[in-house]
Amino acid sequence: VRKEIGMSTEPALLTAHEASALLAGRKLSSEELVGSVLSRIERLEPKVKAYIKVTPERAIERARESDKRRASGKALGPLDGVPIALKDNMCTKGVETTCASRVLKGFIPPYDATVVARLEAGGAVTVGKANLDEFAFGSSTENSAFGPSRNPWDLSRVPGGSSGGSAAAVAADLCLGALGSDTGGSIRQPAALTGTVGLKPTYGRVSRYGLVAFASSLDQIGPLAKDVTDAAMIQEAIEGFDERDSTSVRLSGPPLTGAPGKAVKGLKFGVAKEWLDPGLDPEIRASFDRACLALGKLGLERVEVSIPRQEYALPVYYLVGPAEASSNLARFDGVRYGPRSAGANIVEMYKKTRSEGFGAEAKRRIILGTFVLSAGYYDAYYLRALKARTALRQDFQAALEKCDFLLSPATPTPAFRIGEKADDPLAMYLSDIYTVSVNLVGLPALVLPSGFSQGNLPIGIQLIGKAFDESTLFTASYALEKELAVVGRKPNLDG
Amino acid sequence: MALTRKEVEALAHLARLNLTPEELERFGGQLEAILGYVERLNGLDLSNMEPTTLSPPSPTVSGRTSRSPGSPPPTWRPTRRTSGPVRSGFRRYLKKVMSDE
Repeated sequence: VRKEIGMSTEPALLTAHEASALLAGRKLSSEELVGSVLSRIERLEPKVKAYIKVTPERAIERARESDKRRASGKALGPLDGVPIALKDNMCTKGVETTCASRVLKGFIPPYDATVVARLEAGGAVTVGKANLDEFAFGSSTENSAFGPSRNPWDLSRVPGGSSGGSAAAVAADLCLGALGSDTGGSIRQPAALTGTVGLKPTYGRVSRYGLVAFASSLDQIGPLAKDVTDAAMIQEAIEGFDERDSTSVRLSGPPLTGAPGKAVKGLKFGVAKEWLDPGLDPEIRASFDRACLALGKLGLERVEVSIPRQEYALPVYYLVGPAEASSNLARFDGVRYGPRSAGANIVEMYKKTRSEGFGAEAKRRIILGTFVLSAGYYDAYYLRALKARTALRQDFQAALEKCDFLLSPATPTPAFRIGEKADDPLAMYLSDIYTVSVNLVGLPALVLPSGFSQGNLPIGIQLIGKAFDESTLFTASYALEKELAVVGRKPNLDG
Repeated sequence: MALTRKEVEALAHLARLNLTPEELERFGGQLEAILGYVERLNGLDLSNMEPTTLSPPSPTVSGRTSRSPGSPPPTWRPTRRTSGPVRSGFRRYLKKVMSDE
């Protein structure tokens, strides 16, 4: 079989769409594909630490079921038999869901998140639960109660966060694709730092039912993938209206998987001067300029735009996010979920359970959120942030009236070292500077690799689209991916 | 804005958290730095601005349809918007209760 594949010696190294074609042609079995991923996990997971939990028996069983379906011509979809990883803040029926927190230790959900149910209804094989910053609070996975994941390109560096485990698993070929969640850049920042493709869909495009809430007005689930085509394939499998999520909307139109390959000539991309600060890392700037040149070569027109209130995005995010998080995390009190610590009375029990269960960053955000929502400070901080959010929406609306999508750097620097920013929360927050505004305004954004630093670390580029116009993002990203020819480069993990 | 140790303690109580003396010290300093950073919002004129509490798509949103490059995305409206999770079974139950009354 491996000879017939011709493109790699290990099926785990295939992209999801390559594997899908081979599975459909019966040139590869799901059992072999999943087996290849599992043996790679066994070999490399001690180095990468991408997963909190791997479910090999379940995966092999599902792979065999998939092979039976394929043999009888009853495949459930293009992802039938393809191994996928899930960020461990998505509920999985019968499989522990921890959010990388001690406060949820032992929590086994009685139901699947809608995205999980949709993936499995399409035949995808879930191989495990990927690591994250506790409750998705962070940009490095260092806030995980299970310890940090490692960047496959340099094991001494972070893979980004909070979906760092998902991104590391994709980059190290420990799955063929993964799901992450993005509240302020948690899919896109790790995608940029690991050389993978990540999409934060338009708010409302993907159901949040069964996603453990961080900031409900910002959270959105999306794919982390080996290339743009895979991202479209996974996104299509999970999106769509869900009556269990009141913010979900009905979608119509042709499939996203048709978007790659369409003509791009004549499209306009906007570049905001506020994103190209003179202090920007020179390698990030050079990579951004290369992407602009590549788009120009493809026949796209560059338009200069402005997001005048961009500098307020991060302050708004660090008021709105913690405010919503402090409310959402109030439910973790030892009564319904996870372990319970003994206390002299019920309030002491709450306090002891929460203090022992939450890590430092969760406590910091809960206290900050409690502060900005408290009487006397609500108007000065929270309400002001909500008004600034409106201003930011107006800026993006005006910019997107002049072009089809916006182009920005994805991160201010390539991957940083583990521990480098661990004691300075503000420095850590600044690593989301290019991503948070997209969540605040609800738009879709896709990050793909645009190059490598001199130290062989991936650099990403971000395309921000109009609401529900993911199709244009995929069309432009696919063309850019081909022109830049960066995708496909692999980290050396066997050395 | 600087938070006193007593204020951090009071916030921790409201948030149902016990903080160690070391945590009180550390979080106090870190919160001060974060609040100092977010106070740059005070430089923004927001007098005529309505607050945005949710970031849903605008009432008229663009759909995914085939179109020629450069043309504006076509518009469409979600066929159904709900203000909360509504299940068909619950809706039938609600109707029955209402009619029984």
